[in-house]
Amino acid sequence: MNTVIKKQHAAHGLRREGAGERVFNCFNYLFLTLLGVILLYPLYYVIAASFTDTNYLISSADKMLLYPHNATVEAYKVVLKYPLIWNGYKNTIFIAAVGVLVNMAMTIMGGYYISRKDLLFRNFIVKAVLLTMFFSGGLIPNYLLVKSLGLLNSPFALILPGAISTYNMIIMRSAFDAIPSELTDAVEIDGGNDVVLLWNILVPITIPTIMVLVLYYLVGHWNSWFPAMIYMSDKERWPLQLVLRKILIETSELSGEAGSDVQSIGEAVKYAVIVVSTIPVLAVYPLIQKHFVKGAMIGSLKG
Amino acid sequence: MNQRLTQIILLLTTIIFGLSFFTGCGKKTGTGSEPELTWATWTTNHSDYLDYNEQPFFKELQKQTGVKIKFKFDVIGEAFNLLIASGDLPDIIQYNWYSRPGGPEKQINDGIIIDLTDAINKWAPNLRAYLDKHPDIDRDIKTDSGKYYCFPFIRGDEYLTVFEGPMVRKDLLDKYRLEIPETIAEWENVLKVFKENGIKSPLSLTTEFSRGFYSAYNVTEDYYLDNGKIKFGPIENGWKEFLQLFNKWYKEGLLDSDYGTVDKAILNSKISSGNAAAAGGLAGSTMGVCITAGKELNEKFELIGAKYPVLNKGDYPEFGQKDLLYNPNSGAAITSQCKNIELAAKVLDFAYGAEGHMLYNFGIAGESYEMIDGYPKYTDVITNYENGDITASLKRYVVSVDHAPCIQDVRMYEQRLIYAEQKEAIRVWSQTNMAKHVLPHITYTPEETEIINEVDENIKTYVSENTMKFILGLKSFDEWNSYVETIRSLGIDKIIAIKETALERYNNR
Amino acid sequence: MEKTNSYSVKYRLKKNKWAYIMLIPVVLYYFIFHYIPMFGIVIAFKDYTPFKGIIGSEWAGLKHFISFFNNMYFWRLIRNTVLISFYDLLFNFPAPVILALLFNEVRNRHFKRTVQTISYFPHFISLVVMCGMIRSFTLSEGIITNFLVSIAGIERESLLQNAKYFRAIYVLSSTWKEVGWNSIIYMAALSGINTELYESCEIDGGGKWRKAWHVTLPGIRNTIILLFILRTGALLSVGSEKIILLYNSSTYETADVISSFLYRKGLQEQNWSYGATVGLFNALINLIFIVLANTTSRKFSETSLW
Repeated sequence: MNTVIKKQHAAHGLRREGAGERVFNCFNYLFLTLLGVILLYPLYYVIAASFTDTNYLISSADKMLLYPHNATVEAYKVVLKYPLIWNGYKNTIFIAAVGVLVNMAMTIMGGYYISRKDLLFRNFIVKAVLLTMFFSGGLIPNYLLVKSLGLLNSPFALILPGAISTYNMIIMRSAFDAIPSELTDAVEIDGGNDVVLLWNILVPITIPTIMVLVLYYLVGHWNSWFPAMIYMSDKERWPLQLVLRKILIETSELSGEAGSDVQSIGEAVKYAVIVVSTIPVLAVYPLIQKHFVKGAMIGSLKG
Repeated sequence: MNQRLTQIILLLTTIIFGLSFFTGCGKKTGTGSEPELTWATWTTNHSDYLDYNEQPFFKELQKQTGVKIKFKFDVIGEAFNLLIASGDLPDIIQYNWYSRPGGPEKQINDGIIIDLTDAINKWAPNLRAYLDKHPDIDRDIKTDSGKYYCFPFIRGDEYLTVFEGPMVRKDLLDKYRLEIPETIAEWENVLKVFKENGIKSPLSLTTEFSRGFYSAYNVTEDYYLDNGKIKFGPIENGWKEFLQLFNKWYKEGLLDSDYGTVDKAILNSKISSGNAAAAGGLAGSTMGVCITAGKELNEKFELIGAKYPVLNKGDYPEFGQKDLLYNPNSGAAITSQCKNIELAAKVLDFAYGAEGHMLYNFGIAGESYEMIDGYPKYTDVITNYENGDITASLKRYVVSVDHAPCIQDVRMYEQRLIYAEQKEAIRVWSQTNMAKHVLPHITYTPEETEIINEVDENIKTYVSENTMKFILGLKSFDEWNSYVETIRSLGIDKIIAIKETALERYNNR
Repeated sequence: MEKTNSYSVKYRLKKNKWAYIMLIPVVLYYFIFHYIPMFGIVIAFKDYTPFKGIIGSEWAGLKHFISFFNNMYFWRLIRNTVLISFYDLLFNFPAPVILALLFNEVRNRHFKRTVQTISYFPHFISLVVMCGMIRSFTLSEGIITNFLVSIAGIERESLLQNAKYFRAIYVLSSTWKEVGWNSIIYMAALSGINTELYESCEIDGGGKWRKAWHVTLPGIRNTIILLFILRTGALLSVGSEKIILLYNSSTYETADVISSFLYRKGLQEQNWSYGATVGLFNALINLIFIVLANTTSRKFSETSLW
């Protein structure tokens, strides 16, 4: 089979479309536009709410918010004033950067191995790995393990225990599986070893999948707070999400009767916190999206 | 190719190096000058401060006691269990020891915390003196066998034990020439007038704030004391009458048609926007929040607390809301691994002495409060906090705002409530005989705990599910008897019996 | 690659030695971070208390299993969990595939990029905020209720107060939140399809539909099947967080699932052993499902997990 892949757009442009297809296209654009509006609303709401006066938010929690009322940036002043926020950013960026590197190296190596049906112990290892998706020892054994490895309060406590997501490794494998075996055979005949095959041939071809996994892992690290709460008692080591959670808990109600008498700022802060923590990672997607097409082009060079 | 190889090797070394490097790294904690005491608590320190040692309260506490204390915050839920499981216990743990499975006695027998009887008698003169003066509290904070297990959080005044009740829009009552309702019939009339005048849901409340109305039928949603006997509200006839009332109000549109789904946020929005004109809720996070938000939209907005309703005009409300003076939520226990029990006990006892009492409740003299005619008045430092949230402001200096092992001072609370309506509401809601009906802090044996855990959750689920069905009209009152039967078959009698034995043990303390 | 089977183990080890070397960190990872802590499962058969530790706690045999099976709500919990999960699978599994296919048909690149980027935003909004919106939109005067009253003529009521709507709300709100995000993987798979196949299909006179059917779908079939098999292995795992944010006592009938039940039980007591028991039970059932799905898939297609 030939592996020449050209840009898809070229293929599409060849024919004139029929009436049925025109109707379909019309509906498709209309549908996707509508969907876009519906899916945009949550983000729009959060941004609008973050600029809205808290008392308005309190008195209209049962209404749809269409624009910021009594627009104010008070909430952002509160959020950005917290000393732990910038520190949290720093920690999260370190964890996410190193974490994704470790994740991808491990996932690609593991995915390669389980995609090679001819390797020794492969069936046993696949089954052993899959079992871990179902059975886990629970929180306490994991905590004791991390503690005995001396990882408490180390950023690696947030990186190593989740170094591979089995789910992602299987996705990686399926991308390798999709590559025609003629290609791998050819490399082996040319005397290339597994390292050459994997890193020089297979990885470039599967860039779109790899980028998706990068995104998965990145967002996973970005949004994670629970392990940090368990393993990091040192405030200076807290990732952003844990810091933000603390702010949320503090600005929302305290225990029962001790609830605040006024919530001068709480509600809007909740939304400002989400904006501050989400925007950077939202910006990453377009960068990754580019590779969905680029990957196809790299493939075309190999023909 | 070579480049690729180098990359892989780099990655591999990162992983292996990372593992080994940080194995050594974790051990370096605790170098430098060793703290003399370690103290874990479920409370949060103020997020204005990166380090709690900069937070005025904690700084001052260490200064005044002369003991260096290393605090660990947010030890709650999973974090608490992990702390216990890890085997490295701090000297002091502030937690709800009363509610741990098997009760505090089991925690002592398991070797987690120590029996404090000797320590309190020997090294805690302040607490000792207080307990001698208040034998009721003394009995409440002990186990069945008479052991002390913690330095308790005590509300220093009955005023502090009431914080929830029914409320109504005073400006609207005046507008329609209505009196503040006292009986259920008067309430019904008021709600009808509100409805006729276009208020969408005259009465809105969450299920947990419905207390104001079932209290009129002399029941609670849980276990309570009735002439020394323990009863379970939802199987009593009073509960049926309450359900019938709410069912009627729901059908007539007097009770919010969203009754089943209203949460605290939606409730606040309904009250402050005027879609609801009567409600149930807390003095702080319902009333205070709604007054602030409501006044912004409507200058005339006036929300006041109404007395707990009764059936016959002139009756004194029997049931209502009331907490006990001893709240076990924040008991500071000393653990079995504490090396210097005397020091820990003395530091904890500080809170119950004169100086400590002022620090825990008012902060630092001349900084956060000033004595004016013998009354500790908060200064600008507290009242002029940048976004006006006095609770958040207080938390920097005063830990009795949250629960803490100390005696909560009513003068702190008075200054925390910012509206006169809130203070008046608490006074009005306090007018009940609820004190006679609240269960004291009875404790269970491990065997009893196991039986309760087995069935209690099922009973609660069944009750709350059916309460809603009856009110929304999804279940006919013809089925009341079979409903009660089901709860009996689930083992309610067994639980009541256990509670009565535990109560007997309590009374014999 | 069958031919290598006849060679000795030593030869095969040597031939692919780099593959095995690269496997070492992976195996170490699974051993250290999964298999070592797995001994914690034994607490399902013990009366675990944190202080006594896993080894020190007393054995309880099958006590917790019996207690769970005999719970009056056992069957209801199973039914609700399976049904919610099943509807979720039925609806939210194909939805991102369809969305990806629709995106694939869009030729205006800017439009495609924009809508695609928007579609994944909701994934980042926290569940608490999302569920808060859902709760207010479905109040008796809420925007969704208004819409349904005027379009479908349903009775005006708080939708989350009616047990009959709960599953629909749960499943559709998941679509809202995750459809765009979940379509990303299919977008990636689509970009890997050989363009020549489209061309040859066109030369044969194939229109849009034939191309979609004969080229696009087969091109991402493996991904679909694999993800489907993995999904069946989660049939008994409905998380508690969203359920708790959306349900209330008037919808327990359809909304109460295993995890929310455990959550409520856990409020009274941190019953680790009971939780572990239910977890183990879930795992076993899920394992059965995934084995069934994999066997079926292997029979009818080439794709299988193992």
